Amino acid sequence: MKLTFLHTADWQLGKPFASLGDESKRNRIQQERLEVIRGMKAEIDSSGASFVLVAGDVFDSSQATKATVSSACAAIGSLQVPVLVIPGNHDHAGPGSIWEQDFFKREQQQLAPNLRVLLSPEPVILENAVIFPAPLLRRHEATDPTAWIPGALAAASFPAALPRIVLAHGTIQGFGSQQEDDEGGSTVMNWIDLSRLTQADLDYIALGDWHGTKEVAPKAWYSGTPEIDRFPKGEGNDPGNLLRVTLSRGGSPSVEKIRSGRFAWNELTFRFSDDASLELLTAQMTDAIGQRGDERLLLLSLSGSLGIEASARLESLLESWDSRLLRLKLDNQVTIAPTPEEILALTERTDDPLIATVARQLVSQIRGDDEDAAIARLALRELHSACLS
Amino acid sequence: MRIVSVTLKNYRIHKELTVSFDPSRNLIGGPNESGKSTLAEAIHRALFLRAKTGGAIQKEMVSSIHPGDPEVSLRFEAGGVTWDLEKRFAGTKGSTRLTGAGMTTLKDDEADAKLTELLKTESGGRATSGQLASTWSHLWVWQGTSGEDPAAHASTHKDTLVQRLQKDGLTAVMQSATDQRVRERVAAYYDQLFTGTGKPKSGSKPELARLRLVKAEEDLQRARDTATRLEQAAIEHARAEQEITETAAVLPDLRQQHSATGKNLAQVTEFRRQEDAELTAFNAATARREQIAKDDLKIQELRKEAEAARTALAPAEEKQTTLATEEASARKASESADASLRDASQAARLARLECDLAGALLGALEKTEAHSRLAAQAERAGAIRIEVSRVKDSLSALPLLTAANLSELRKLDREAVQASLALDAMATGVELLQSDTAVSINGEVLNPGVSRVLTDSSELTVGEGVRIRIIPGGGGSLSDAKTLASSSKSKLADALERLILTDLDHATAVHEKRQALGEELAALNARLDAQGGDSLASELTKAADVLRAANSEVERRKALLDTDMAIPCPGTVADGRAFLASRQENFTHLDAAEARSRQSAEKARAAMEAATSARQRHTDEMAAAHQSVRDLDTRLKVLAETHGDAATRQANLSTAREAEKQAEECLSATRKAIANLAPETLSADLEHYQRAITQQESRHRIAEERRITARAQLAIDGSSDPQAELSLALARCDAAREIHASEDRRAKSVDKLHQLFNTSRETIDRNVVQPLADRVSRYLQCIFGSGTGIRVDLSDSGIQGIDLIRAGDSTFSFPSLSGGAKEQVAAAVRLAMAEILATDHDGCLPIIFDDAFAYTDSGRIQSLQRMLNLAALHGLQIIVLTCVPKDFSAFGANQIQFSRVIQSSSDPS
Repeated sequence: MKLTFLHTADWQLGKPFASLGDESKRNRIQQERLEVIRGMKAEIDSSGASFVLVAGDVFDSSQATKATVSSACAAIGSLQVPVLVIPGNHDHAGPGSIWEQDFFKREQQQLAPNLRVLLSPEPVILENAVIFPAPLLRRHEATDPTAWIPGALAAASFPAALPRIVLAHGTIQGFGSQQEDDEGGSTVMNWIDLSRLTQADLDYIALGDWHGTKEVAPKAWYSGTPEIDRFPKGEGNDPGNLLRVTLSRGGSPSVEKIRSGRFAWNELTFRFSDDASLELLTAQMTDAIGQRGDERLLLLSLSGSLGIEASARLESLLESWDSRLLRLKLDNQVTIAPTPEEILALTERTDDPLIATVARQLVSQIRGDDEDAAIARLALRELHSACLS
Repeated sequence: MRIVSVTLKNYRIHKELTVSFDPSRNLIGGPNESGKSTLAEAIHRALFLRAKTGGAIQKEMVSSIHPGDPEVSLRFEAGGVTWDLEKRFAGTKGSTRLTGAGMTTLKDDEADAKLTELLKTESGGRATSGQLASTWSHLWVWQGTSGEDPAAHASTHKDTLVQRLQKDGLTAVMQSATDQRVRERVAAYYDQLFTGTGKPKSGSKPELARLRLVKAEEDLQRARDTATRLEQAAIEHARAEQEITETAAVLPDLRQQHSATGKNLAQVTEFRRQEDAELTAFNAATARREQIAKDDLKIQELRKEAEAARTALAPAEEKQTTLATEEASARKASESADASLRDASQAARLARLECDLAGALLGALEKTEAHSRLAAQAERAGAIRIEVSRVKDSLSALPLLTAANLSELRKLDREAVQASLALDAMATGVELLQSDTAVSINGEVLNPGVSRVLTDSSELTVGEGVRIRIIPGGGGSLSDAKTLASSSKSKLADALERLILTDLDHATAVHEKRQALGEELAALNARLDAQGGDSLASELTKAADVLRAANSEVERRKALLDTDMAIPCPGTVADGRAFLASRQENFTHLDAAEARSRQSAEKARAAMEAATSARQRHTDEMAAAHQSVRDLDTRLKVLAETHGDAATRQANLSTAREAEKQAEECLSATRKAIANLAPETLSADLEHYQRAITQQESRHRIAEERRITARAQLAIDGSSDPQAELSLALARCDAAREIHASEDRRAKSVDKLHQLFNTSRETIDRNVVQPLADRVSRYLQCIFGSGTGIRVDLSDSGIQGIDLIRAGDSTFSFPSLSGGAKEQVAAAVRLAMAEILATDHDGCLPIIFDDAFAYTDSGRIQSLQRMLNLAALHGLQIIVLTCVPKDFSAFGANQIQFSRVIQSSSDPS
């Protein structure tokens, strides 16, 4: 008897995307995460999946707002098949968490009766599978949340025909969200000893936390987040998918990666060799943004230097790109380096001795990476602009 | 430009005056009011004042003593040409003529325009009165202005000075219009960003960015606080749970320990109770053992005592016999004495009985006599009573009328009579004397000869046809009188009827008769009382009773005597009394004999009783001794029965000793068990376990409360996500910081640009004024020696001030200088300026010092002349006006002397 289900994780609904300054853009990117969940319905229908497993971090915070809770429940409810979730490190089931709130329970009952939150580390025998959940009851579990599973397997007998599936959220050797979080830095917690699980008599290990899709051991997969939520980091990181898993008791699972993410998170690095290269960047950016800037997020790293006039132009271009893109994350290392012509035009003004004197003094100060040099460059740009008008 | 000569006509005090000037050095001397200053003024006005000027300034010039319009003719060299200028100051009729050598004369406006060109001054030749004072004021040192700060002059002519110096090929440069525009643009931008004191301007972009940053930082702090609070609450929750777990782990063990200790303590209590019981048992065993030994000892002692008692019995038996013999003899003596006493007593008794009989006989005789006397009295009293009875009957036959009754009757009678009389007085009497017809009154037939008294209204009928109404007098009172008469009669009749009397006379008779009978009855009662009255009968009865009793007494005593002896019977009282006396004598005699016998008998009895008593006492003692022996034997027997025989007792003692020993062992075992439980620490242990439990329970409870509190803090209302808020606040703060940094940097760049413009401009200005300063220094060195210099302070608006720097680096600002030094420094500045400006005027400019060194002492005047000479050497035309020309004797000047008396001569010398 073959069983098909969807494995997903790290929805992180309600993620604030605080670095997006514009509120409407924030709303758009937050809304998109809900749309992706609704979009799973088509895959469920076509594949005949019996249920959906969410390996943690349904919410971005264990104190998600009511609005987030309601919209999440509505989206989950639209999937119609059972959706089994465990709390992850982001939405851990600690005291005061949403999972214990009356409001959540009410919304779950009314909007998502198909949602089942597994808050206890104990086997759940379904009609067609046995689930071994490893919910996180606090943000940082010092011990392996799956440690109980081998013992439980040995201690009791389970229906022989039902496949056994682990549902866990955490870090394994080399993989986990802690290495990639923007904040970063914390010691590795929520550690899952995968070897212990792979040696046990299990059919599939559904993992969450790592946002890329990855098979980390035979039968053990990180599904990754279904909608990308950060700029890519490192080679082989493959977010924006969900997994369709087909298996039977004792067999090898068949796992298929389904593309689900819609928004593009890209990176562009550009170095200005001269003022003319600004045109090159402009062309590249026009290609990159196209007509769908509102679905694109770009990490733009700029370096090199531009003349006074060119850097002013770049500034206005950046203003446009920032507005057009859903997000422009800018790493701007470009310095203002006046061209020889620009310098001469200011310093060799025989008729305007005062301007020339001031300009010569500024030019003597613009070299260097320090703040004073930067100020001098800006002052020169101001002088340049004042002379032009 | 150089002044060659001047001629004044009708100008103030001068009628006509011509003065020729040396090209370099001129000294014009003269006392005060000799017209020196007027000369200086006239030259100045010829050059600059519009000829058509009117008003006060024109009137001042008009001479009060010399008629005609003031005129000034001035010859001067300018632009390589010698010019003749004629100016007539006549108000609107004023005129100007200017003639260059070999040229056509220019008039008025043309002349003025040419003057402007030649003098290179806007107001040249046509200054208004208002402009006059400031025109060439740096060259004309008017009297009293020599000490003024020369900085103002230098400032006024700065541009000309700069131009002059530039043309001289000096390094100084001049800002262009573009320089000025850009500089102003930057300054305007700077002004948008900064205040006059260089502080960021409120409302400016960087300041707004800074405020937004402050706000964002505050928001961030708030978000952080919220997040931290939640984090703390989570930590607190975890700690509380940890504590709950810990206390929950510790408590069962503590409770078990507490319970075990409690049990041990209960065991100790049980052992203590057991110890008490065993101690009691041990004490009992000891007591029993001691009792057995004591009993045994007692048995032995009793045995000894019984033996001793038995031995003491034999002598007592012997004494008993002796005492019995003595008692028997005493009893005999006593019995004989008693017999004697009986005889004597009998005799005495008889005598007393006789005596009593005699007394009774006498009493009976006396009683008989008394009874006879009373019987006679009773007979007399009976006769009186019959009499009394008769009188009483008579009285009772009469009505019972008292004196008061009689008096009442009399009063009523009087009232009746009075009422009748009153009625009669009012009534009418009718008497029918004769009638042939029937006459009736009130229907009653009235017969002739009969009279009727009418007291009421009555009708008299005569025959058939006559009816007469008779109305008695008195009116209403007749009726009253009638009523009164009737009631009075009625009352009297009632009273008489009540007393059963016929009338008042009858009443009076009855009353008198009742009085007579009353008196008689009183006399009879008095006689009756004399016979004893009512008590007589009872006395008689009593006397009869007493007599009867006396007779019975006699009989009784006779019977009592019970003797055969004849008893005499006296007939009278006297006999009775004699008999009694004889019998009393006899009794007295026999009574004494009996008393003697009684004495003897009592004595004998006492002796007998004493013997009996002694014997009895001894008998008793014997009985007691026997009894004692018996008792001892009994007790011994009982003890033997109780305690057994000696062997048994010995065995019992051994048993008791064994029991005692066992009890002692039990006791010590129990005590040891108690000691093993360490009772002295058990209570403390129990207490400290209890304390520990309480503490842990309290900790547990507090931790639970803390957990509840923490949980409450962690519970959120879902309106916001603190983590998301924090992320947003962080991002906003970063953005605000970035904007602020950018704006701040931009502001700094503007500031930098602004400062650079200012300092660069200052440098340029300094370069401009330095040649001036150098020249001034050179002049001053003539006065103050080498090393002296000046510093020119510049500002945006021009030369701010001039400082004198003396050798040795001491610096003095111009206002701080003495009056003399001020004059000298000012003169040096003017000379230096004139020297520079002279370049535009063919290398020469006149400079006029009108009494300009008034504060300068004569010593300093010498060095001053050196300075003036230097100026002359540098091409300037020096004109000094002074009251003391001799001071300037070393100047080597062309000297012109004015005197106070003005002559109309063309040559004043």
